[in-house]
Amino acid sequence: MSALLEVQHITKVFGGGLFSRNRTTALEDFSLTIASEPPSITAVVGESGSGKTTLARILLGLETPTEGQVLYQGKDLRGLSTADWHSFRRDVQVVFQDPFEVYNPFYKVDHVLTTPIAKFGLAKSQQERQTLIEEALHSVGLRPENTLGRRPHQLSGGQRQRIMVARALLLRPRLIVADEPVSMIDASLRATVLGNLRQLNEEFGISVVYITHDLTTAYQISENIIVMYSGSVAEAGDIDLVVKQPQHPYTQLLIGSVPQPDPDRRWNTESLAASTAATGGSEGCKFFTRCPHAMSKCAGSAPPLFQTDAHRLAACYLHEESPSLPAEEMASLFVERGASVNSPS
Amino acid sequence: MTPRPRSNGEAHAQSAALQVRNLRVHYDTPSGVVQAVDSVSFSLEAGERFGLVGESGSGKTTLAMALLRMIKPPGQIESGQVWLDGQDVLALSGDEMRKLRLAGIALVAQGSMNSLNPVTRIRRQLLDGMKDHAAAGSNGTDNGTNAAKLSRREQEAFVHDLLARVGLEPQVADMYPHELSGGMKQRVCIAMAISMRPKVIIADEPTSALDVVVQMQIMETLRRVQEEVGAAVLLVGHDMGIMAQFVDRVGVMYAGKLVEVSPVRDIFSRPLHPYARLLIECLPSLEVKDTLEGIPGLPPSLIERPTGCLFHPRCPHAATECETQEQILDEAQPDRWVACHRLDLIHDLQPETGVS
Repeated sequence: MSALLEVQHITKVFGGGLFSRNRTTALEDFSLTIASEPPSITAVVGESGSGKTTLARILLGLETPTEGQVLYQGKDLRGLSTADWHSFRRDVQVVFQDPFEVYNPFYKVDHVLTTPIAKFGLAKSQQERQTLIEEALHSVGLRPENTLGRRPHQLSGGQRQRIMVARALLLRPRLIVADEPVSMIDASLRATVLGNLRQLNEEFGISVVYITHDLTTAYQISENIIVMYSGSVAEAGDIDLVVKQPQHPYTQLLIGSVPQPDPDRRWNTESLAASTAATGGSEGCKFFTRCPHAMSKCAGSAPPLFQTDAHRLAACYLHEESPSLPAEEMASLFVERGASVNSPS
Repeated sequence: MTPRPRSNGEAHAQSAALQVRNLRVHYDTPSGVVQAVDSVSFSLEAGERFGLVGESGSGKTTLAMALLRMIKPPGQIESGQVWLDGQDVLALSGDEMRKLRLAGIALVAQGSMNSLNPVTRIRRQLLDGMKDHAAAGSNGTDNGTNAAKLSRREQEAFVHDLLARVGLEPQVADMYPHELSGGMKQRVCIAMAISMRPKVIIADEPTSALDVVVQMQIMETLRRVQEEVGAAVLLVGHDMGIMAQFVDRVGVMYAGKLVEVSPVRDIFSRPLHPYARLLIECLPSLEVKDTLEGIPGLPPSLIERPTGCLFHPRCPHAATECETQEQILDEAQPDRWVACHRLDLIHDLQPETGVS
């Protein structure tokens, strides 16, 4: 088993102290395996409150799950030795959402690049350090002479976010968790940052977990997608299948809501009927109250994952004639890079 | 109507809900003068939906704020004219302008769900704005309802009607903002904006912090109420997808200037200005996976702006004349206004089918 990082049946509950009634289940019985080979890009898509950022924080070891465990190369994160923890910190890197808040305005931007080099002892000399930084900046398409020595406010959001990608790259990690890396930058700069992420994946063999609410960018860079709804998987698998022929009613709603840059293709306003906020029952399917296909069965118990295609799962009773699959085997259906690309043109 | 620099503003002020002519706004900063809006002209027909797109820092929000005369120092409206429904907005006194806001021209601000007062119930907030803007001694606001003169029962009916228009339950009137979701708060802001039936609603990235599903609901709500009250909408944003879904015409801003103003179908099927074309080409699609490339280069500094056409350093078609001569918006095709020296040449290079 060559899993780089594995989460098994994790549940994360916030709040709910001894006397508190306000408990929020951010993630429920979620499992995901990120193999060390081959490098993959997996998108995790969902609306606010679907648990996607909680998942990112758990993958990064910033949050411990209430139930279940996170395994790094087969070892539980909670019991890692100092040496293992050190290598976990290096192998698993992050790019956060906000390219403004991650910088300390008092330091030059060089600071975010020199700190990891010092911390992990990557360079023996000043010269070597400089080379490393310049190489990393070049890899994300930035010119060191225009970047180094500046203060964060002198750079655009896109540049700052690319420096964060360069920082992650410095450590030659095996996995980058990117939590909404482009949601706060202009559409014209998004493409560049996403292009960088895909390039890291292809050239350096780094896996990426791309967390977003934007299906279009997810579609552009990932092979596989996990659509989250209210802490559970709604649909998962080959992104071409999920985007082109969504099977779960929630995925259908999401895709129908994407504003197409084409005035002749109106977004699907029929799905507006499935309007108000998510207040699913505690027992049944969480999408029950918004679902146009809701059946009495859906209120009773949460649907398991049904395997509707060779490379896709949907958690919906509409597909109950398909065989169901245990949640922890979800990733085994994922397509490998190259296999999913039908025709590049 | 399209920007017609040579036409007389006063003549058009009658037919257009909003007309802007040669508006210039700058910020006087310690490092120099930032020319945020440079000689912008356009107009909105009654009930029209007009989109203003551009990158961060292209001056679109400054332009929107200038229309409301809400530019704060060091910003300053330098010159130009803004006609709202026949009134010269820039000539009004402070008091008159205050009456005009909300009653004549309303704003749904960026992240406006965070602009609600956290300690006041929604009902109060809906009524307060009206009391403030109508009761300031107005007589010209027959298009709105004067909340101050309404009985309690009428006020209640009025609030419920407003909430119903934006798809909210009457109970929301008794709630505080923290009890509402982001989408619901944005609906309240839309309700507030239409409360006095303005001629023009300015929506500055009204859905930038919301999910796609909620975003669609909000935009559809805005479209419905805008049609009901017959207001024109100026939608400011950088999301071309929303523009395609919502507006009738698009104005593309670059470094403080309008570079193209075209009907939405035309600009998506055949953008004329090179910047507009790049902006549309770099949009990711849900149909095909293509190479991810942004627009090369960076937006110019608004303090030391390039000479000639402001886009020339990034333009794939730039020639020497672009570096030296400025180009103003010109009617390239019926209803399509473009500021580009090399338009004819570029579009010979690119035949009708050339949008890939």
